Amino acid sequence: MNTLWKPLVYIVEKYTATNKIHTMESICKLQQELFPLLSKYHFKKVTDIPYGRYLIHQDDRNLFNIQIDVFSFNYTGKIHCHNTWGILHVFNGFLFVEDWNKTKEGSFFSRGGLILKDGSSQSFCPPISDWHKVSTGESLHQTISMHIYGNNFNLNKGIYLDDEFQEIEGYRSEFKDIETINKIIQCY
Amino acid sequence: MRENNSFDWDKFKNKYFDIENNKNILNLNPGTMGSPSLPVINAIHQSCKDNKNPLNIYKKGRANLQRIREEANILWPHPNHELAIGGSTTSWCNKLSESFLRLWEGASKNNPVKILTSHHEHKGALLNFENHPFYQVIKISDQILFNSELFENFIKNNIPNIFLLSQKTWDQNLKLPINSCFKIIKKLYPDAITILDSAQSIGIEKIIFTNSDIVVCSGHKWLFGPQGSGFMWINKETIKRLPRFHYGEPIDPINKASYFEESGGQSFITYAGLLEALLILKEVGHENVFSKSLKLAKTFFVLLEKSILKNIFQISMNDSVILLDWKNPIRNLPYEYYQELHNSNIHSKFIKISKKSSTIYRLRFGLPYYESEERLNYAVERMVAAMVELLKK
Repeated sequence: MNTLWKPLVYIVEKYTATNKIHTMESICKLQQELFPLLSKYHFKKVTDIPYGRYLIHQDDRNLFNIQIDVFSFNYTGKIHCHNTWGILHVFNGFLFVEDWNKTKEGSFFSRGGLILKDGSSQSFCPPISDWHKVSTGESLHQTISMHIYGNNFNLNKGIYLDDEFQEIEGYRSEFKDIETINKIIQCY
Repeated sequence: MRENNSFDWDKFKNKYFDIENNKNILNLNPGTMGSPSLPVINAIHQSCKDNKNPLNIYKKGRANLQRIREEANILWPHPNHELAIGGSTTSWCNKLSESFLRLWEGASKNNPVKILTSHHEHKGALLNFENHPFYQVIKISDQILFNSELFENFIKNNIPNIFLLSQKTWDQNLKLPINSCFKIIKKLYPDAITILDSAQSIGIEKIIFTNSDIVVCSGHKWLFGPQGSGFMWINKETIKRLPRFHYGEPIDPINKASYFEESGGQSFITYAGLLEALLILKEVGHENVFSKSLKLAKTFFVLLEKSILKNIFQISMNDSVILLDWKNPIRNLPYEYYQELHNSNIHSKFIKISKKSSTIYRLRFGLPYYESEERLNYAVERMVAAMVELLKK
């Protein structure tokens, strides 16, 4: 792992070592703790970065993992869930996050949406905000975000909703070479 | 609730909202006063015309009132609450402030009724309590409000008689932690009365009834109903102890909340319009209203971000609301710009929040679900032109 990411991994490692039960409040606290550090990361280049997933770190016991997502313009993802806690942070561009709720009866309803601009974060912890959909728009800058996912997150498969709002299992895209990101990021 | 792409919005907006005749007017301030739909306006006009038979006016008015109650039961199911129909949020709170003083009879200047609330409440709901010498209003910081442990400790040291929160705040369209706060209040102090101000929520999202003793809201905002209309839901247990607003003849005796409604001759015209507003919401559906509004907010955000306004404002989005905060407000420019937009028929809300170290100058834009991308494009063009003109001066 590039040394740039070590302080980040250290904070999340420390959190998972001391917190066995996760709540929205504990995740928000972690989000606050990470905030000063995350604001130090800057991209030297913010256009024409190959879109896709880049894995920064995966914990040996699968207590957490950290990924970078690079989005294409006008991207709209599917509604999906995580089945674990997580933190979403935008480094560059903006991300439209639409939160969905699953009722006890199994139907889904939209519960809100917001724009995460560069430098802002959002947390989720099932059942709060676990279902969401993200999209980008036209912008001068590509959207680059970081995602921290909690224990037992499946790196290969995910649960999505199809057009009929039925839950389906799908394979996630392959990780791309993190060196592409490491070459263009700096921390100061 | 589902995303519905098949709904014919063009047909809908032309049939129900007078867009064709108001091409260059955009009311993007439904959080203050929404523009009623044509069926609402027509029903009001018709009701004004039906003025020759007093007996029929009463009969029809009462029938509309009962029908509104039926429709409201469908739109916002509330098995543990009774519904009073009448005025706006402010009007309900004014009356409640009098009623509570009969509930806490020992209240005085030296022994005020204690109201705990947030820093985000609208004056309409709060001022009647704040200015009344028999009430003490304590505002809780967000830091405490959003942390259940801190919140619990805080209320143990400040035991409330009343706890009032907005479902969505007027200044930021922020979701307050209603569920957790109301639950804690009810667990620790079951006799305290929880009031939910849903003025910025009704018409666009579901109402949170759980642990809300009283819910107040206006019909003239995101519901696009008649001016000065609204609802108040009262929990079935709370209604037993809450002193009624009057001891006269109730307009709808079958309804237990009717002692909180107007009695005698009143504006029956309002009910005709309000009923239409509910029928339209039922036809379109909460889910369509919300998702369309959200989609338009995103569109508006993207258009603004691509414009020069990005250099002048910090632009953010919370659900159906876009906030433009001045980055470097100069002299009276924020207010002049707001006025300029107002003169250009682009209507928004001007918000000034004074803090110890700085002042936030904000324009709040709400996105009504019947608007279109084309009209939002026009709005941004006008906004850019107004800014260029102003900066030239």
